[in-house]
Amino acid sequence: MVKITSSDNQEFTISKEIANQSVLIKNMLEDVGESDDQPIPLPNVSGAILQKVIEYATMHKDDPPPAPEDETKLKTSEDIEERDKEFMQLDQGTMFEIILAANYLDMKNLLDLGCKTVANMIKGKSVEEVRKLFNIVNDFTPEEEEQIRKENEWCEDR
Amino acid sequence: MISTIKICINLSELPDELLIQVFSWITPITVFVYRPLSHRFKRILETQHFATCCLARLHEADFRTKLELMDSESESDSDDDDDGSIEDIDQELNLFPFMLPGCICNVEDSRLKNCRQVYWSSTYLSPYAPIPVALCSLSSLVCLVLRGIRGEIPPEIGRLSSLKTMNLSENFRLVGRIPVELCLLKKLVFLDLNNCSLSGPIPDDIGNLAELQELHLNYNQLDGPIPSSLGKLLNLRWLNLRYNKLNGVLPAELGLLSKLQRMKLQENMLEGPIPPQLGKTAFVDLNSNQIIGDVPCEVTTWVGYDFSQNPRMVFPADIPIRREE
Repeated sequence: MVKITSSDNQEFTISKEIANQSVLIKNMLEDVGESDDQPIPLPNVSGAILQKVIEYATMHKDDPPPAPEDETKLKTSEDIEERDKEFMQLDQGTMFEIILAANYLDMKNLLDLGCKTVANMIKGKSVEEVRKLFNIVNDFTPEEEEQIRKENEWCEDR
Repeated sequence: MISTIKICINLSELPDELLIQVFSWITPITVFVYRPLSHRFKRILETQHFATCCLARLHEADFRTKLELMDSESESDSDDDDDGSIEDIDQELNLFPFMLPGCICNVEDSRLKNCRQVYWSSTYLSPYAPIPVALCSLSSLVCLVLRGIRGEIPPEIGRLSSLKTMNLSENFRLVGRIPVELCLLKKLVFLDLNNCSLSGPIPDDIGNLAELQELHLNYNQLDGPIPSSLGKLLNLRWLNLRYNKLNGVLPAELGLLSKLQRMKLQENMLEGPIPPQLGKTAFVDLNSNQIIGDVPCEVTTWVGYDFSQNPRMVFPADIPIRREE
């Protein structure tokens, strides 16, 4: 078993196979060796988020190793397992924190899942809708925005 | 457990690298719609790094999908290309900002060197750019789709020796001749130059493109005869040369194309008799030419055939003359 602690000093005890899904933790474990039972500090992840991440890792602990890259397979953001879709039914704040955590912990599958989920939220929406959804402040002047929209004409309204 | 104070963050607080990953999952042609979100998003979406991330999601499957989509389009016989159907296809696929300033020129980038597909409409930053010669160094390129280009097709195009799909259609500012070097692209399966402003003859060497399944040169100002070497393209399923200024005798060799499903040669100035074997091709349109002689005896119905507007043609009495409605 492996002990990890969050930024707010919550301690979690997880199995090695779950821990190894994070390349960061895996490398740390290799560095410190087997015998060390000091908890691994993860100062960039809060306890609440770490709990979600562990939930994800537990759900995927029995996954077969990923198949080698298939050249002919299309990679799309629609390609998400049903259980992962359910897992990502979260408020935006948690979702972005999970993305940050997955990036920090080096968990590619979780990072892809997070990014795909956000991409799917953006897809099909207008610029205004996306700004509103994510509180993005428009810092263009109306003239600048008009110019970019003109350049964009070829990819809109298809 | 003591409940922790959660700091709510939003999309804008993600670092550039993660935003790039998020947006790389959106179809490249539509992702640029989001450039006006803010200065930061515009900057991120125009970086070469973003381009490279999108590139990583492109695969040969796109090329196949495209061919399949083109096929289904052919079945519905919608080659009146003003209905936007080709755009629809591109939207499913990838259009890619290779020609962003500083981007395409850097073919030394190993990822670009191994790049297999380029979809591009350059109207988005620099309207009507010429085809960059640097592009022709991407010898592993399999699929090339360009819109919004001007000038001539450079002879260096012949260096794209892996190319299977070339679609430069609907570039009305693309002028000059079809370079004979284009006939060096022996792996070409799909060649579409429709709706450009190309003139001059169809190169005789076109018969070297032995893999070619579809040839669309319709709506140009091509003149001269149809090269008899077309008869060597035994895989050809689609031949569309309509609305050009092609003249001379219809080569009998066209009858050798046993896989040909559709032949559209209407609105040219073609002469001579119809090769009898063409009676076995399912769809032949020779409307508005100068064809003489008889309708091939294999033709027993007008469905799929149009030989009207050829004043010197002899029509059999037992098939009522009417255009396919």
